[in-house]
Amino acid sequence: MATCPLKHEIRVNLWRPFILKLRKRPITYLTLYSPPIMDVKLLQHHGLIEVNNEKYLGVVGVGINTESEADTVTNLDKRLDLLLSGDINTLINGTKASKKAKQLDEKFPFDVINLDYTDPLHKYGMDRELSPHVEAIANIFKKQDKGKIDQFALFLTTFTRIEAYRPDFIEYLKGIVEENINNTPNFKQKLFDVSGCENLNDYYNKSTNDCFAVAVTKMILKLMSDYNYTLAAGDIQWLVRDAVPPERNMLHLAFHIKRFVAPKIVEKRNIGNRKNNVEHKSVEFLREDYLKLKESTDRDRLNEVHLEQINSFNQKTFELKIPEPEN
Amino acid sequence: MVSNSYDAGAKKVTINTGYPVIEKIIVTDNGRGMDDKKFRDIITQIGFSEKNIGEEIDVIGSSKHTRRKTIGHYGIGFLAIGQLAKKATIVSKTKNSLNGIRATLDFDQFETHRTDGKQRSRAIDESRIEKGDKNRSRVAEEKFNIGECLIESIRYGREYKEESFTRVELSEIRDDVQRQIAGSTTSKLLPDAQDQKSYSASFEDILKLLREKEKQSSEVRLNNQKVPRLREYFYEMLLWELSVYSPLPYPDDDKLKSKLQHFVGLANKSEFELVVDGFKLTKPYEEWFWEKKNGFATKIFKWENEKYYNDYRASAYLIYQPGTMIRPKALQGILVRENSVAVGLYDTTFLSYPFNEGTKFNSLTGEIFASGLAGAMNVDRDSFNQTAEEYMALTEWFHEKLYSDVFPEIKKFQKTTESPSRIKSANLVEDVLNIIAQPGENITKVEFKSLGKTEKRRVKTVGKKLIINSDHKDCDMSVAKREKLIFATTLIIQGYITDDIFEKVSDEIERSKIKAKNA
Repeated sequence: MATCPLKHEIRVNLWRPFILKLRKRPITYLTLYSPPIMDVKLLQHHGLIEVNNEKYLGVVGVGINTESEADTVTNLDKRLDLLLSGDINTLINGTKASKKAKQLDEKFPFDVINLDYTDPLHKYGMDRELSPHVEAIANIFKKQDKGKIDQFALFLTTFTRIEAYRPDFIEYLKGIVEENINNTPNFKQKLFDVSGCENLNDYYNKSTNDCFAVAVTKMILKLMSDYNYTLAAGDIQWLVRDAVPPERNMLHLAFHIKRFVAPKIVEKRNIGNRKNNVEHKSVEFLREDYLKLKESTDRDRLNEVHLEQINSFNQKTFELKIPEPEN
Repeated sequence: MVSNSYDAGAKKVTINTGYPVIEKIIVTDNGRGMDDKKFRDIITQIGFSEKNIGEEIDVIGSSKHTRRKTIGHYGIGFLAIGQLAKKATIVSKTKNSLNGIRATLDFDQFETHRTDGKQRSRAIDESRIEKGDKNRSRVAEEKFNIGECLIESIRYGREYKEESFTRVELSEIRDDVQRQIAGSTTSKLLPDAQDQKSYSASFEDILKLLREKEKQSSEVRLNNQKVPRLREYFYEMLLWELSVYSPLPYPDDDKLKSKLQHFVGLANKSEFELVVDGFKLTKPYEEWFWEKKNGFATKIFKWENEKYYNDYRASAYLIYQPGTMIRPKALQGILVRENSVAVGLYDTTFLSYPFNEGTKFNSLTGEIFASGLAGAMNVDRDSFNQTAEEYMALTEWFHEKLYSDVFPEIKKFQKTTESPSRIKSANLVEDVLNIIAQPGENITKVEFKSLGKTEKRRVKTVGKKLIINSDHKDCDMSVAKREKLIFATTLIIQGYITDDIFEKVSDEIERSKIKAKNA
């Protein structure tokens, strides 16, 4: 997966441009690592993170188990500033009594946070109103706010097979979209323009995945507004794994988030419009065609574009390299 | 294995243990490599080596045309890996050749079994140890058989003709080794130990961690068993030891360079780099060597490039830290390096120094860089043959330095009023006497003060204040003198005597003591 050219396209053409929007280098970076940890190598390649003799300064990786921790060390040419094995949600939502949670907490805030999840945001059958994923996203905003950071990039990847989700979570997401249709005329108009649909059910039935993506985005906008953050820019891309059935859709969201600063009152129309109102921002996420990268149609093309870089990144480990023999 | 790489003229060695999982250990170097013949010779004959002790070889790829002297000489490095893993794959290639070798070693003939509750290794079939199994293809089938080896010839593309390297991959790591390195032997007793372990981003973080852990309690008790705290840091300790043993440069530090310039030069001469799991190892070094401890600066003793035996030369330094023990404890003692490679760890006996110098040893750390010791090393490369002439000569040379330069200087320092123990003592005397000198007594305040060396009196009263002459030779605050001073001064404070008869009374007490002893 990590060496997949489609995923590399996401790194290069979705994540990197959003990091550049910060106009800051070196950045601090939190990632859910997956060996061979290409994202860190890409950032290093573009001089976006600081490295010294031994480590990537300000880069924190969280992986699910000790095996991935070992793989990460093996696949990098330097060590991460902090490498933790464990569930990111548990670490973010955990108490400071856990040493690992405390270590992670001390590293906040980050310039870029990459929640590259590979599972649903709220699993089917989970007996909790709020999933650990959603709770973690909310806590990230809280920690960023506490760390007094004024702008950062947040990337969120999630699996979008609707059946994998807890039904009431889907209902909750649908409710968010419906609220927008009812309360934001701009949203309703744009929805009609791009989809020809006037109500939620039509849109959901016609483009379930798109409706899901817009709803998740809207949910995140709500979470960030609780901590006085607002959206400066955002984008959605799909990665469709259709080479082997069943087809799997991975939603990639990228946000450039800024501290909300109430506009100065210089005109009458500003009066009463000084709230961090994110409603109208969700309009921007309605599109006729979201960028979809499909294994069946794009793999070869993207292989040509990225293979050389992927291979060279793969070679970048701390170990001395020896050549492969001919026989 | 690191020594082998060093002797192969490697500039860089990388070790990938895959910690904390430890499924494989891969050691790669860019030394001169081995061809088929050389490999067969090494693997089949314990004790065989083409290397001559102390032979000068080129450091491969050195831009400075650096040469180094070899340190190993028994060719046993490869065989030792059988203790770590059941299988090993060695890939090696020499320069100016397109051919390389791939050897697969199988040490599985060793099985582990438990005797008396301890895990031991032995060969499965002892008859095969004697004769070898003729039905199986073996390289080592005479006299002593420790496993099988399959050697294949491999070919590289023309573009790699100039390259030379060796890569050793140990797989099927033995369970006990795996558990030990990963620290999981401790996890059973300290279930949260792994969770509580900090991730180390750099080698400096490891050193910091070990320092912190040493400061904490040295052991914990669980189910009535004592568990050393540092045992859960086996991996970190291993890296520390490796950094001590290996011929690595010191960290880049200006103070270090200015204080021990000659030794930094000796260490850097090796042009040797060792990277373990991304940690770039350097010689262990403590910045606080140069800081004042309890207000006292360290003393450095240095001897540079002196002849100790025939044409063999040695350089050494010792750092004395007054009034405190060297920490981490593992740095206490003297480390002997043959061409920058350590032989054993820090020796707290100071090469069996024959005189008792008490706690002074705990406040000393240092290194000896010597040439010509390779022939005096034992097979394990971890110790010296105590009867080897060159080693005996080095010991004599070093002991002479300790006897003539170091300890007299330390003793002299300890006798001065500036020495930490004297100052501690003086503070104690002052504190004790000021407790006795209560309001209402003849004396209400006691203090040490310099009255000049010409002043014969030890004590002088000024009103209700009693001054103790810190310049007096009998006020140097050795333990015996301290007790006498407290006793005699108490008589003044409580009005039994006056300061002008203090010396007379003190002498009388002293004479009586001698009389009593003789009686």
